[in-house]
Amino acid sequence: MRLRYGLYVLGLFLLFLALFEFVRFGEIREKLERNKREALRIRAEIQRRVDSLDMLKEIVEKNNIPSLSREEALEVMLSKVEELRDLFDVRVRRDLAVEKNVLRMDLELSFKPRSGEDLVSRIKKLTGSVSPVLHISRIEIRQIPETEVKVVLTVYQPFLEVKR
Amino acid sequence: MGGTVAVEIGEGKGRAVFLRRAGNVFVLEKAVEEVPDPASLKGREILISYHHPDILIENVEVPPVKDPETLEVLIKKKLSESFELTSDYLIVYRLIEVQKERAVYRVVGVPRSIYEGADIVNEETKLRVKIFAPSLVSLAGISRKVGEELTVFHVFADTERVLITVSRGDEILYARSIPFGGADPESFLLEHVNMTYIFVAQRQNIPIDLILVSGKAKDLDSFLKDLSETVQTGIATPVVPKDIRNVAPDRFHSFMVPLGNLYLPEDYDFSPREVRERRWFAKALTRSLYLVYALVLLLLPLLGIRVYEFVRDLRDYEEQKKLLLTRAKAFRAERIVKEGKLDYYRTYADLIYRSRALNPLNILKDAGPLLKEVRASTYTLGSEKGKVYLLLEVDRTFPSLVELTMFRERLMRTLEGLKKSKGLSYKVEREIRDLERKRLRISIKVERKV
Repeated sequence: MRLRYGLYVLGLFLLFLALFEFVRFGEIREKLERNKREALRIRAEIQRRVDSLDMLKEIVEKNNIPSLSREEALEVMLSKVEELRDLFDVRVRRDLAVEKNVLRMDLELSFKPRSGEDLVSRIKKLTGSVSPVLHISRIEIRQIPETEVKVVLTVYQPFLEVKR
Repeated sequence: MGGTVAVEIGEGKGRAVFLRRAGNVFVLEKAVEEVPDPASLKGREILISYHHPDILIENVEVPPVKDPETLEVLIKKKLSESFELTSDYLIVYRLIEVQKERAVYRVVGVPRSIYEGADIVNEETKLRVKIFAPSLVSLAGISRKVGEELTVFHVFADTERVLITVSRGDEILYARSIPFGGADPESFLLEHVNMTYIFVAQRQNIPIDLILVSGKAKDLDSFLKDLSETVQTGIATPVVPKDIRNVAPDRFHSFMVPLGNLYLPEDYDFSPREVRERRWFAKALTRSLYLVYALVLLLLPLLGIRVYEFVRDLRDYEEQKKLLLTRAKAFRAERIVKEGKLDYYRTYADLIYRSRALNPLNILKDAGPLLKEVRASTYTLGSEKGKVYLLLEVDRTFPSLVELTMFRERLMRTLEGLKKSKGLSYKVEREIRDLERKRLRISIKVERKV
């Protein structure tokens, strides 16, 4: 009888232990499953970043984007403005400002083209610039009484914040 | 171990039959003419007949109750009231009649003292005693085996006593024990059997179907002859049942009483209620022990599967993590990222993209035909809200109204054509037709989504 009681207690103990472990392993597995999904998600996110990074690298290469310090950026910017001054009447609509590591200046250019070709060639000078970026927001061509062109644009030049 | 032992404890003399089970039959291992030592009964199921001359057989009327414990108390109470029993009795009972307000039970009882006086019953063997019954009741087991449906008048005799039990199935109707002796055993036996038969059949009005003669009585030829002359009922001698093997007829007859226990229903156990309960509990414990281990065994493979799945998942996860870390490391190792130029280039690329996508000159490529058509006074190119547009302001005077109309028609046709072929939408912002002066002033906005 005593042996039987002993076995009984042991059996119950084993049963509860087995049940407990069974349930616990179920829970752990669930947690693991969640972590796995999270890992998959992060992996996808990294993949996305790697892809966009590849694209970015391509863009950088294709456009020959330079890396400029703040001083260099300012120099590039001002020399571009000087260049524009030679070609157009320049009016500053908004003076030099810094927005999140980007130098910015709003300009209004005007000129009276001598001919159609002159008009085209001057306008062409405003496109394709990478350093700085010229963002044209409006071009107005008035024919009467004489041909007069007005260009509203923004000059952007990002710069690298040097880490200290 | 295992097997069964059937014991009769008589007055000074005992008998025991050791049997083992082989499928549905019992095989005799040995039979001894003594009460065996309790220690030799280890592991066996024990059936006990206790010779006691006076047993109580009464019909008891009680209110109908379901609970067996209450019922037993009620029956005992009734017994002690009606028959003035002084000692505690061990009882078994059969329901013989039930009505709305009352139930009648046939109760068989023996004094508790015989149970307590039996040496063979001790703490160790107690829970293995399956049946404890008076010898007179054990005898009814044989009668039951011979004919379940018959009312049997069973006469058993050995050197010391005569046992007479009248029973039908598992219901005891009458029982009597007489010490055997006298100068002429045959006439002694005949006289007593005859008297009892007449008492039972006529006074008690119990119709007897069969008279069984067993033990030493079956060898007394003149007794049998005389008996058959005085009674009308058939007389027979029990033969060895088919489910007991290895027993000679003579042996069967001398061990008839203990063997009768094999054919008694289980509830013909006179053991005290608390002992029966403990036995039941021990049995239940054994059974639930099996159940518990069966469950453990069942659960183990399930647990194993879980652990296996867990390990597999864990490995999967580790792999994922490794891959992830490798990728992340590779990403961080990229020159652009390492030098902290990611944001810079991103901003830069974004600015270039926007300046190109929203360049108002883009619309000129598609709007070419329109420019040929009209000579506008003002052209405005611009971008707003993700669209690039071209605003034309025309102010012209025509020689005739027809030409004005035709010009306008042509203009609209061209715009429709551009809408269809190039996906440019247009909107006439303002239009003034001065018919007197044949002058048309119109401003048109042509747009395209980026």
